[in-house]
Amino acid sequence: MSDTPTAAALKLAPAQLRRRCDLRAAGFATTDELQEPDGILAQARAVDAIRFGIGMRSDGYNLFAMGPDGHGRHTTVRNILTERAAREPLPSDWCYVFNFETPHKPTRLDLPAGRAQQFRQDMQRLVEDLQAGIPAAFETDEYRARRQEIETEFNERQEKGIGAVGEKARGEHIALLRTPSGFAFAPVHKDGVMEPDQFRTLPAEEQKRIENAIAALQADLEKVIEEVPKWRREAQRRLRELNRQVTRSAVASLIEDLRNDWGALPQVRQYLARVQEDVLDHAEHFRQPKEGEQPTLFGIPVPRTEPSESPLRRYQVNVLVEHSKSQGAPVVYEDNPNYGNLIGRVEHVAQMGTLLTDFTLIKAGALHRANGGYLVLDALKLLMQPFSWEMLKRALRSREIRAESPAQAYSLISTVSLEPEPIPLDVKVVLVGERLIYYLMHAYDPEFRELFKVASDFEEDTERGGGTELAHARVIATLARREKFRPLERAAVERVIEHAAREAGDAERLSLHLRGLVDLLRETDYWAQDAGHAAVTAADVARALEAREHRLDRVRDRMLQEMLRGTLLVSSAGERVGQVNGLAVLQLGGFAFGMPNRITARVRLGGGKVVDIERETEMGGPIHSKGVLILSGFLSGRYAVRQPLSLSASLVFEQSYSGVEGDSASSAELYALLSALAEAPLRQSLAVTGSVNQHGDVQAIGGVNEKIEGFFDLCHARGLDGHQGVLIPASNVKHLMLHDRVIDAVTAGKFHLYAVETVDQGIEILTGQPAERINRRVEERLLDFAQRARSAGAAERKKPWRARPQK
Amino acid sequence: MARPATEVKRRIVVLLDASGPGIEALEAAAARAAEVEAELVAVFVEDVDLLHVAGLPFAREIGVASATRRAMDAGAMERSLRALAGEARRSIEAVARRVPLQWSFSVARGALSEELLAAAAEADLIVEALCGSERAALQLAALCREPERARLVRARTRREVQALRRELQKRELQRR
Repeated sequence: MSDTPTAAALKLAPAQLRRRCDLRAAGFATTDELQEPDGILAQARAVDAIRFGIGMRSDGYNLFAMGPDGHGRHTTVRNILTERAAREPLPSDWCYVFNFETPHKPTRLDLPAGRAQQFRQDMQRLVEDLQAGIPAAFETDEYRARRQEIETEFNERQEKGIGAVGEKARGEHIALLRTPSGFAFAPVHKDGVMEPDQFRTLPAEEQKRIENAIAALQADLEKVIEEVPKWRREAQRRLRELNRQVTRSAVASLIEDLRNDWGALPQVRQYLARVQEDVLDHAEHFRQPKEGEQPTLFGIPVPRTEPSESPLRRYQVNVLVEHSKSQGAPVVYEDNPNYGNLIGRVEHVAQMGTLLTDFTLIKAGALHRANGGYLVLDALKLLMQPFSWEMLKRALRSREIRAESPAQAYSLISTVSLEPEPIPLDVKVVLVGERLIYYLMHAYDPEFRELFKVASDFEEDTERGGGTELAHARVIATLARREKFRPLERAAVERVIEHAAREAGDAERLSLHLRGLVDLLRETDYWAQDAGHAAVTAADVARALEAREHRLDRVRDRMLQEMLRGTLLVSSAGERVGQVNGLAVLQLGGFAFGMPNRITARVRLGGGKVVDIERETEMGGPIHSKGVLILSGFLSGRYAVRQPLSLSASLVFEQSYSGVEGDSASSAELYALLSALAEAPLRQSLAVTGSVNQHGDVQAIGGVNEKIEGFFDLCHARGLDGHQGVLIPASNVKHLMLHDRVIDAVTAGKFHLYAVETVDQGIEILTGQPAERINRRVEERLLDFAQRARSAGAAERKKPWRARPQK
Repeated sequence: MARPATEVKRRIVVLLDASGPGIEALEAAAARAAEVEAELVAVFVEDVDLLHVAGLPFAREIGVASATRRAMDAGAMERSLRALAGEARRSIEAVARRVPLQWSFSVARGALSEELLAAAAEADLIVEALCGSERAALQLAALCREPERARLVRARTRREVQALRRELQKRELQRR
């Protein structure tokens, strides 16, 4: 069968099937001669947004860098941030120190950048010096003498008081005796105490007198003894005062040194003053502990827990963040943004079965490290971590970092823990994630809108032109150099760029999927090495692409085999009424391929309904159903307009055992239907893709390259006879980036591609008959149906044609 | 009571009673005796005055710590004295468990017996920690008034006990 004039006119030339990349004008032999690209490749919108976002210092201008994975979002964000951060000032160092007033609320100190370690060491040295200086002060003779004085005075006072009572007793012939736990009075007889028997022999009034005298003396003695604790307190107070004096002299000079170094910082000055007071109060901590004294609990020796329990820990400085080795503002990427890693944690140590903590166990999180700079997080990872997102929002809203555990924050437990003084937060957060996440968060989380006002939307592909091709070549060169691959020859670069267009599914655009690009370069490098090439050639690139395809094409191969064996019925020669080859794209993992699929239509007299069997069996998706309903619209709008549509038609994808989605087969279905109505056979050597609207215009579809190659491969396997080909929508021609094997066959005239704009053009190519003839026959058939329906309706008035009751 | 000149017998005699820091003095002396391999003779003197006071119908004890009056009775006082004597004995036993020590312990009521006085007369050092027990104290004082007799050190207060410790170290009780 020869082509009709229409078919000949719509046939595509080989040059239209693949837009070649030609970099001869750039004048380079290998990528070694190419420079780095200036700026970030074709992401102007995203880059502008990032620059704007980090430039806005106001609250809520945090960034969300969105776009599909592998398009360089992280790299771009990091590069821009690092470049900007290097010009910004270093933020403060942050420390936590002991809070002498409320120990469970550690105090924060901010120190000039890079000086925290110095302060920590200075404090450590102070403690060491005090440990030497204070005991020395207490070992002086002066201290010992003054202490002795106080003790002696107390003893003498006590002895004098009791002695006076004893003296008075003696005057009354009464002795003051020491008993094992106190004193007693007794009447004296000769040189000893009067014996009880002797006392009983005394006259009654004498006994009475003695008893009264003793009672009076007892009262006196009680008064004296009651005074003793007061004297002791007095003595202790004086001793404490003495200790303070001695300590003060030792401490003052040491702290004075520190104050000279750090006094310019008011916070530190205040802290040092408190340290001084505390050391005076707790001088005993600085005396050396007795050697070999093992601490015990209920008599059981327990291990020494130093240094965690040492009372001197309180003078330590916990350096949370320090920038002594950094330059510029920090840029922090937290790969595992769980609660503790973000906000820091208060750790505990187990001691005797209980968990203890203090300010030295506060650990910094990513927010601390990024404070004063930038924090980059992966949005999905952040959302997958319990409590992290809520905590991050709270921190950004309140502009402070409050290191508390989720259990504390949600009041789940109430063990003794710390409430560190919150640290002021000034950070720009950049979330990196898929677009879907951005849109979902934007829709469902009102706070997200408040806090992340700047979206940086990354492109998946870019317009293809001479300039962008060269820029792309430079990116390839840079990546090859960075990853230490072999340089690529110019032809290889052209091949890689053409592949980028194929990836974009558009001859006029280039994919910006950088990770995919790096992977391809890595694989081409491997094959170049395999072939012993010093530079990567175009053949290596082709081999890499083929090998990649081959690794993934098992399913395609099996399907093709079944078609060749006749298990899956797909014709590629001959003619048949009501049957056409549709094309579908299957996506498995990262591999997409096209496959022909037989579509059939049957018609008969009926109630004006086109039955889509896919839909009836719930195997067709909504877009597919829509496509079929549009067919009904086209039919009823175009043919036998004045008559009721009295047709019953059924459409099916033969041998389809899973779902069908998309409307790209709607033109094929229409051709099958028209063929069935006109009883005009369709050429089985052709396959069809394209959707159709109610006016009969053929519209663009996706995956055109894969679809063409799918049918080509089948025909090629069966042997090309020069009649085979594919009808594609004319609007898809710009997307053609076909494989060389197809182009070669087209060039040789063994395979044909037709760019179709209307259904009329398509039916003409498929039937080999003018469209008017087909249309007339369809019209006649439908009129015939309508007439028959009327006469059948008159015969059986009461019985509607509807096969089943309406749902 | 002359000593055979050949027999150099070192002896420390400690007399203590219920009140005062007697046990501390005893421990110090016991430790030193063990060190220089001297014999330790400890005598716990039960102060008869205390027993008499406790027997008096109106007897009251005023606590040092509490400054309150407590009724006393003779039975309780005896028990209390026995307990203290036991404690003193245990303190020597504790020293003797650690280091070899030749020691004796006896309890005297009121005055010292002839044997005790004889033992005391032979001592190189007498430690007197008697806060009550006037008679025993007088007996010792009389014993030591003779110039060639043993040296008497008083340890009736804590301060005196500290002085005793220093004295024990200084005194020429060298190891044999």
